[in-house]
Amino acid sequence: MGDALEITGVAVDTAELIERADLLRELRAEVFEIRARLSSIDHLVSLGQLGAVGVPYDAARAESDLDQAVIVLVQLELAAQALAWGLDSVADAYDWVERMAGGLGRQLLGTVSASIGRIIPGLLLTYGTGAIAAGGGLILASRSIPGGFGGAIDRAMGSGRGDGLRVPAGVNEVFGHPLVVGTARELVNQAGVAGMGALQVPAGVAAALGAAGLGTPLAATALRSMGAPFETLRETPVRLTQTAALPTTTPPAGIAQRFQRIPDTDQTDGAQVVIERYEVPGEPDRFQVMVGATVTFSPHADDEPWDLTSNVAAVGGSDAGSLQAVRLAMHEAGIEPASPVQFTGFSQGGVVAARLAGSGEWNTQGVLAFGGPTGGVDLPTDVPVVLVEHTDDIVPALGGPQLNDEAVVVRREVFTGGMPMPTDKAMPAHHGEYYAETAALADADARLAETIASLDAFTAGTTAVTSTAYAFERVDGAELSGSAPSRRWDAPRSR
Amino acid sequence: MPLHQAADVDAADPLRAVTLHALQVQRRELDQQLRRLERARRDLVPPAPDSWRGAARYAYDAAYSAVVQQLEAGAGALRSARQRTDSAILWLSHG
Repeated sequence: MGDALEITGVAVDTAELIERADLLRELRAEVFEIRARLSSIDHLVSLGQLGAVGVPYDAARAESDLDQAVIVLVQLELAAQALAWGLDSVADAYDWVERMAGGLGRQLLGTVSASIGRIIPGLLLTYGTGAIAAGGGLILASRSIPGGFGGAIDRAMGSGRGDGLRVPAGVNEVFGHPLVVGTARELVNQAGVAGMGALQVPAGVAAALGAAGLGTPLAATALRSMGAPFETLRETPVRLTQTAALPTTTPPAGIAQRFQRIPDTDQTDGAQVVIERYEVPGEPDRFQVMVGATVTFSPHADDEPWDLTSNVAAVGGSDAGSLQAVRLAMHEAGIEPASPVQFTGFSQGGVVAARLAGSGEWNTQGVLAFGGPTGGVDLPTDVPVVLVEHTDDIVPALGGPQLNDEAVVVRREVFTGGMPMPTDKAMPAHHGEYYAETAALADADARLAETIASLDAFTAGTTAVTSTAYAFERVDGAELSGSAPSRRWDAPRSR
Repeated sequence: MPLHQAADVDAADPLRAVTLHALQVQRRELDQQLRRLERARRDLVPPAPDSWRGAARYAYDAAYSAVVQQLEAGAGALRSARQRTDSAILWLSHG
C-alpha cells in the first residue's frame, strides 16, 4: 500500500524557494553590515603601531585575519545574492514550466486530434455509430440482467452489495494502472477536440479549446446526445423527499474528519447531502455542504439522482440532477448567496461540490473534493481548494486534465510496488476506505498544514452546530407538478 | 582589562596605552560581529526541505554548501583575529 503523497499547488515548491531566497537576501544584508563594521575597526591599529610597542608578530597578525575576513565576507555576499537570484529564477521557471508543459502538450495533442476529426469524419462516424450501437446493445442487454447493467456495476462497486462477485483477474490492474489513468485523462479531453474537428472547427481553434480543457465537457455532452435515442442519460427534475437532524456538535477539523462526514447513503437512509450550520456570535451563520458519491451507475434516470446521468451531466457542465438537488438542499437550509459556504464531496459529490463552488452563485470559502472528476471545472483561486486524487483511480481522470493550477492537488498511488488489487470490488482505488486513508495521511503531512489551517479557520469561533441530512429523488415533469410536500423523518442516526 | 591597570599602562607609555585601548575596542567589535555571523549562519541559511528533489535540489545543495563554507571561513578568520587580539592585549597588559 502506498503512503507517499504527491502534492502540487500547495505553494510547497515556489513558496519555499521564494522563502529561502528572502532569507539569503537577509543574509547578504547582514553580512554587508558585519563587513562594514569590520572595515571601520580595521584602521584602529596598524601593524607598524603594534610593532612599535613591541607586540610579538604572531599576535599582531590579527590585522591580516581581519583583512581576510573582510574578503571572505565580500565573497559571501556575492554568493548569497547569486543563490537568491537563482532561487527566484527557479521559482518563476518552475511555475512557468509546469503550466507550459501541460498547456503545450495538450495544445499539440489537440491539433492532432482536431485534424483527425476534421480529415476523417467518416472514421468518427464509424466509431460514433459503433459506440451508439454498442451503447444501445448494452442498454438492451441490461434489461435481461437482474437490476440492469447499472445494477451489475453497482454490485461490483458498492460496499456489501458485491458479495460473491469477482472482477476478472487483471481488469482492475489495467483500469487502475497510473499510465492508463493518465492516458484516459487526456483521451477524454481529446475525444471532444476530435469532435470539434469533425464539426469543421479549425484545428488551431479546437486545439486551443482543448488546451483550455473544453474538450472534456464537449465529450460528455456528445455522450449524452448519443444516449438520447435510447432514453438514457436523460436529465430530470428532482425533489426533496426527506430531511433528518444529525447529532453533530462540533465543526470538522482537518481533511479526514471532513471526509468522514460526507454522507454515505448506506449509512444515512438514502440521504445524499448533509449540511452543517455553524453559529458564530456577531457574524452571519456559515455552512458546510457535504455531497455524497454516486449511488447507482444505471444509465437510465430512474429514481436516484446520484446516478450515471448526473455524473455525465456534471462533467459536461449541465444541470445534473444531483447538482439541482444540492441547490435545493442549500435553499432548504437557508443558505443565501452571501452566506459563507465550504463545499466537500466524494466522487460525484466532488464534481458537484466543485461545480457549485465554481458557479459564482455562492460565497464560497473553501472546496475539498475526493476522487471527483473535477479537472475541467473552473474553481475559485482566492480560497483554499484541495483536490484529493488517486493516480490508480480512473474516476477523477474522467474529468479530463486537471486545469486548476492553483488548487492544492494531493495525489497518491494506493496499490504500489506490484501489490495486487482486490478482485471483490471494481475500481478499488476509488473506494472510500482508501480515500479515508489518504485523508489521514494528508492531515499528517506538514506540507499541508497551512492549507488545512485555512480550511479550519472557516469555523473558528463556532458556538453551535446543527447538522441536517437531505434525501432526494428524481421525478418527471408531470409528476413534479403534482408533487406532495417533502416529508421529514424523525430519528436522528449516529454517524 | 580592569580600568586601574589601564591607568597604570597609560602613565607608563602613552603609545602603549592608546594601542591597548584600540585593541580592546577591536576585541569587543570582533566579538560582536562574530556572534552576528554565527547567528546568521544558524537562522538565515536553512538546508533544502526534504521534499525537494532532482536537479534543482542538487543545484541548491551545491550552492548552499558554498555559502556555508564561506560563512565558516569568515567566522574562522574572525575567531583567529579575536584570538590574536586577545594575545596582543595580554602581552601589552603584562609584557
